[in-house]
Amino acid sequence: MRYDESVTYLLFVRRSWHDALSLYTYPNNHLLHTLLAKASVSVFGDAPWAIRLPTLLAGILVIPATYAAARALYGSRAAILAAAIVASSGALTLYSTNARGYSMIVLAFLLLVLIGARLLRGGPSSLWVAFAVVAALGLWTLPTMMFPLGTMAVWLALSLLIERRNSELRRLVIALGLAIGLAIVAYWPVINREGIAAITRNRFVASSGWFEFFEQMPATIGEALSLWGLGGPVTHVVLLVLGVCAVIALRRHASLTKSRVGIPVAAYAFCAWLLVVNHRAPFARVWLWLLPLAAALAGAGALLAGKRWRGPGEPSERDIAIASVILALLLAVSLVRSNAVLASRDTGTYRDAPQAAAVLGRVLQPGDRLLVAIPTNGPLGYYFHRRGITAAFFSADERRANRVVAVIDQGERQTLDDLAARSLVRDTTQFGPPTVISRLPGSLLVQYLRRHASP
Amino acid sequence: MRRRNAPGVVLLALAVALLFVPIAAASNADRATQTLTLLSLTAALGLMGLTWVALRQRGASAAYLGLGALAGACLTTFLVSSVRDPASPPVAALVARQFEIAAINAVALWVMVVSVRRLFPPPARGLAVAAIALLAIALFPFPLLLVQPGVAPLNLIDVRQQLHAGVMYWTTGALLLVVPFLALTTLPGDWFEQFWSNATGRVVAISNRVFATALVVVALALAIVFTWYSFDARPTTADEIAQLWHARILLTGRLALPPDSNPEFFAIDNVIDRPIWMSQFPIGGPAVMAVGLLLRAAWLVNPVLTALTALNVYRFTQRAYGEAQARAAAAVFVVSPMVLLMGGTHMNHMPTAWLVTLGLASLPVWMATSETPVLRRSAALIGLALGCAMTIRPLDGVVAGLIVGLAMIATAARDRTRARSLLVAIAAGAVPVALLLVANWRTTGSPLRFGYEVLWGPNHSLGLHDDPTGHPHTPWRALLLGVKYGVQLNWISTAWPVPVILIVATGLLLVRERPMRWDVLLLALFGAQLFVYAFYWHDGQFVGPRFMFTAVPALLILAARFPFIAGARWSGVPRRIALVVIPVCIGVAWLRHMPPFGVQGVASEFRGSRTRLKLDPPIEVTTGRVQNALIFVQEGAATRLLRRLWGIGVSRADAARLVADADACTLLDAVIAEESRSPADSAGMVARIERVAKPFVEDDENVHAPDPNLKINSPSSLTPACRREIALDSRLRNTVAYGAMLLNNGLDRDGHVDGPALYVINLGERNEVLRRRFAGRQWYRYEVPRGRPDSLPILVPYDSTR
Repeated sequence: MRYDESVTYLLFVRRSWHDALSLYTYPNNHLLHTLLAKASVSVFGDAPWAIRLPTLLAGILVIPATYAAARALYGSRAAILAAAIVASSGALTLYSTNARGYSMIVLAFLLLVLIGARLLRGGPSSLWVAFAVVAALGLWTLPTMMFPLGTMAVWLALSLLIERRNSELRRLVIALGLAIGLAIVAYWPVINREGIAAITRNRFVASSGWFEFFEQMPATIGEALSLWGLGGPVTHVVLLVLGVCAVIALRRHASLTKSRVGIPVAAYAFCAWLLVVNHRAPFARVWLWLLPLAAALAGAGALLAGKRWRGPGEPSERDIAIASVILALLLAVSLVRSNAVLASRDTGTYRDAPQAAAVLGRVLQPGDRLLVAIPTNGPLGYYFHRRGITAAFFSADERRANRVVAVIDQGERQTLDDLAARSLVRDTTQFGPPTVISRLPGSLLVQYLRRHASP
Repeated sequence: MRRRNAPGVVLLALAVALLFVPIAAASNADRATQTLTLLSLTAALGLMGLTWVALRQRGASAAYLGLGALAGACLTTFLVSSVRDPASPPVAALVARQFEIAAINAVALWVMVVSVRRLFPPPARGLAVAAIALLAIALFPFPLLLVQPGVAPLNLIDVRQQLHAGVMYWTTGALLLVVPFLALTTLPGDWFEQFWSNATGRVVAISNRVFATALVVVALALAIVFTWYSFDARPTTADEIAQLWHARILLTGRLALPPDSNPEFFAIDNVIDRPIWMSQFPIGGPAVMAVGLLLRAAWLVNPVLTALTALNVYRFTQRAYGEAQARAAAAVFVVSPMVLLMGGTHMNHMPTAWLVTLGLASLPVWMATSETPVLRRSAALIGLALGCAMTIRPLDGVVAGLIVGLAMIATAARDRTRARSLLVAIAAGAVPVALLLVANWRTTGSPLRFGYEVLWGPNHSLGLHDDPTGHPHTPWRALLLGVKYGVQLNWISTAWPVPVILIVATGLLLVRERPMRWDVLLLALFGAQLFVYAFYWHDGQFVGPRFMFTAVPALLILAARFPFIAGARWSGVPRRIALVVIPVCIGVAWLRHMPPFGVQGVASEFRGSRTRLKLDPPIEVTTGRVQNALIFVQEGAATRLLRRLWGIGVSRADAARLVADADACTLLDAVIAEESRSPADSAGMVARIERVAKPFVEDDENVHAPDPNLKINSPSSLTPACRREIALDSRLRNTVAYGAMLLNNGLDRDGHVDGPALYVINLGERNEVLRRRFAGRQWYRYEVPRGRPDSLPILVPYDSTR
């Protein structure tokens, strides 16, 4: 278990239904995901797979949803390629096996694309209700759903404006109002308990200085691209080629789609505006919903490039399907061999947490204090919980502790010096020198014994 | 970019990179190497130019031009021994380096000729080269020189942080603030064309008179807003205060006041206090401010002139380029933060810009008319305006006069009927210049001796020499100053997320036919101003590169030309982008509050700065409760020391050098010793002071006094007098700038300071020399005691807790 998902479980999922849906002490509470995870845990127990089940199901559904959305935008051939890219994407694999709401946001975005494309083709008005409900569910999962929702709103609005479909434009406005209204209702327990500021002004979304914002944005985009390229060297090469294909598709976008307005333009314009309004560089994973869109562009661009290379004439769907399977296998094998998903430190890790919990369960005595840094404390706390070890060791008063046990996760580049610097153990008149309790594959358990400890 | 142009663009980039290589290599080298590197490039360009002139009729090939450049660059090897100094590498090494540079410069210039010929048709090549030079100097790669370690000893204001912010604003900022709007122009359909046609149609439908009136009103209103918001309608620099003081002097009917018997108590920067009392500035600036003072609204002078300058910009562009471009240029000018901020000050740049643009606006009339009365009238107006500009900022006036004069001479050479009107222009210009010279003669004793020279010595002048404080102004420093001014204009002249120089240069690069004479004139005005001020030692920074201000209208008109040039050349989405990029830039720069970026950010930065100068006199004085008072205003110890040096007759230049280089305590002792001598015993005074004052050595032993500018070597150098000075500072929470208080002093009929409250500088124990002179006045101190919760000064009796 990673840090964020462990905290999700410990602070929200394992609590009562009311607490789970009304606590927002951390923006970690992706409410709809918490609801589903709690349902899953209630039925299947608190094993990691049970906590991750909702996000995994959403992640699996992203693949057919990508196919459907890409087909609606760029045709079935591009859609098959897009689905292949998405199916073997390291980033989506990571966030489909991480008990957080991100894969659900991706799914919600793709559903909105599908609904939007149908509406633009003259679909029934009832689809506006579906649009509002999906949007509200997305917002209920994560407020950063505003990025994909705004993108879709701008895309639809511009398309309807250009086609002069004013009545549909009114419906869009109503649907957006309905979505926001539903989202407010869904967030009402949180607003009632913690206030609106817990959602809009928490330290992860509060505006930063403009200098800082401009400085951080390129780094965030770089991290997002790095996340999308999770995998081995083969993945990087293939994704680089696909990236070029996506750029080609962007350049020739008008010739690739029946839509008069491209979603990429809407996405760029709206996301930039929202960023400028809030001027806070978001986490790289916030951009995950754009990955299927990029995959669809890459698929369409690859077909375009292939057409120039092979000459006119569409390749058959069978050929494309075979190529897609090969592509997916290539990327998947590269991903698995690279171990990149497991090794990724995104959202915080402590890979030795199960073994460490087992060792500490035997070693810790009443009066001990556990010295653990973020993100190590989250996974360790989860495995403590599973083993029935009290979490009181984490918060015991260091001034009274007979022994302080430090957990140093070298995988997170922690050092004993850094950890000790924030603790009383650096006072050698009070505590003896550190001695190693256990060496785990990627971490170290060290103890400091109080000099003249009371029995 | 068309695909067939790609090789040309690559070659051009290669040429610029090659030209930059030797310059970059010299950036941290010794002075001789830097000078020789620049000489090599200059000589290569010069001889290449001569080769082109010589072979133009026969079609000069790129190879010949390259050889010309090589010959020119090689010639500089003869200068090695004369440029070399003891810190330089051996002659042989320098000569070898010169040959290497010559080869690189020649190849680079040859590649540039090839690429320019490939990319641009013959009539547009000159303009294209100018645009490329502009881009290289003001955007990339030359600004990289400003962040090199070698800049530190050159006594330039550090702009690294501003450059870093600029790069972020012009990259990430542009991508987030501007490009999203531009992306929308890719949407299909004719919606954009309809919208644009409607919008521009509405603007064009406004009558000229209404537009001009609205322009003046809006410019005036905006400038007034900036005056109050950013500057509190007060002078906030030594230059402004000095000129306002001089304006007060003029209003007494004198060109200068007799010197005060205790000048050190009234001395401020840029004011000459002996043998006469006046500012260092040419008479024109104070004369303009005197008009404002006469109307009791000096703060309104520059806002009014801002509005009139906007009108001049509109009139010039209307006559030169037509109504549509005139309205665009006027709009770009009137929302320029640099223009509005400068319009909010009492600086003399705005009157100069108004006069130069007044002359500029009459130039198209002079060039177009064939009626003799109009010809003479316009010539007279041009001459008078530029002549008046010379009385305010002589260098700016001369630069504009030369460029405009050359344009007039070139026109007159083609059309002899205009030749006589040139004499009218010269005669009209001569009148204000003559008045300036008379004023100089009456005040400094010589028509050609300006106050600057009286105060700072001959080294204040233009050119490559040591500055008044002894720092050398080398060719390399001149290059860096030019680059700095250029790149800073991107930051302040528009505050757009897209650098204004990029927009100007792109417009110029798109010209394919013979360039319009007005484009050449504006570019020449800008280039000449940049070139000339690079050779002026002072790093003038206030509201951006203030010395460039007179050329800012030219730059903004050229920027406003971009959509028209690009719109005529491009079609489809690129045309749409060209049309909306400036409106979008203006919109985001003005509407989004994003400090330190954008117009609001820049305006609020000035609002929060120089607060020590934004002070009212004590309320007890303004309400009349305190009268016949002598009020001491306390600045920091280093400033007091500087004043006392001035007081004993040390020149401004020597005083600045001594305070910067000497240990303050030993220097103070030397000053006290000199103060006890007879005023007549001034021969060899500086030498005596230098003998007593020990040099300041920066190390861990240094004493950190409340005034960080007070440099003291170590606790062992603390003399009793020095301790008293530090104690005087320690009493206070903050100091008060005296400059603003000087302006509250009155003047009697004889030209002596007078008034119900007299403000003087608190010079500590030195104040006692005023006891007898002002025995009849009540003594007070106007200061911010340490216990105050805010930084607002209060009036306290002089002898209370000292």
